[in-house]
Amino acid sequence: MKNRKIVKKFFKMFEFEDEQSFLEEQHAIGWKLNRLQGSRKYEFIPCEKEDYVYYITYKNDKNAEEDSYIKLHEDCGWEFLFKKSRIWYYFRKKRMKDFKEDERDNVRNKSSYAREIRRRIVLTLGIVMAITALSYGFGVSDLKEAKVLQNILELIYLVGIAIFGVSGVFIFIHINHIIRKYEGDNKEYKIH
Amino acid sequence: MTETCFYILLSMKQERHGYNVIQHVREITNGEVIISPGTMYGTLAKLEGNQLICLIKEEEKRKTYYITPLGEEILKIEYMRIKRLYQIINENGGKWDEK
Repeated sequence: MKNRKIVKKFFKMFEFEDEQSFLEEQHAIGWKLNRLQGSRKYEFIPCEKEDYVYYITYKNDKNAEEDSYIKLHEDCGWEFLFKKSRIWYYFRKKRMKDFKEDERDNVRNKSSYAREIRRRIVLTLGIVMAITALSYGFGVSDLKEAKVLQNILELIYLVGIAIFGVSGVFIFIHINHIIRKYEGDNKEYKIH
Repeated sequence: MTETCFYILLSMKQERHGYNVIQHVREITNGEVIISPGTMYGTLAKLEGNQLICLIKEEEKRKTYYITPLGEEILKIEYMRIKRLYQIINENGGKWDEK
């Protein structure tokens, strides 16, 4: 029997529930996750064919202490495997009869991750627009001697920025839609 | 304040760390409310940041908290609001548990 197996698989941005299911299926047929090479090469090693629950959780609170975060999960029976991209934490535990899906907060994960992406989009758009404004003022407009070249460059510049800006706004709207959807999915009763 | 947050704050009337709170909430709600460790961690950080709970000690990477006077005050306000809701529901024919 092979002592390890590599599976290449790609999951999109919000498909970590599918990724969890994929890892659970592998475990059920006797291959447990050992490590992740890059973001799409899964290395498995042989194990007992058992029903395990995998839990991929998102945390981007740089100030919070990682040790106590992992410890709290371990107290709840989760075995910590590794971290991916500094924000995704991989855990697993044997599925007990009384296991409830609420023990994994998939909806909160999606919502928090979408909020983080929205924050990054706003930040990136802001930085690019600021750089554009500065470079447009100091760079392209300095080419006064080559008037035609200047006009062409300015046109290319403006079209590029317009495409970037419109794309950014579209992505922002899409992410907002995702946040609303996931927060709507969260059945938690709000007191106010 | 969410229902989860309310239960967590209520649990902090005794010194507890995260896992203790998860167990306590599960117990007092007869297993109806299950808090995941990720949610618990985030909520504790928010409550501490808003000075509703304070860190008492940290042992073996487990942080133990206790409710602050401000947290008690917030809990009391929530209690009064829920009590009022309960009364209004009862006065308006919402006695489902008795039917």
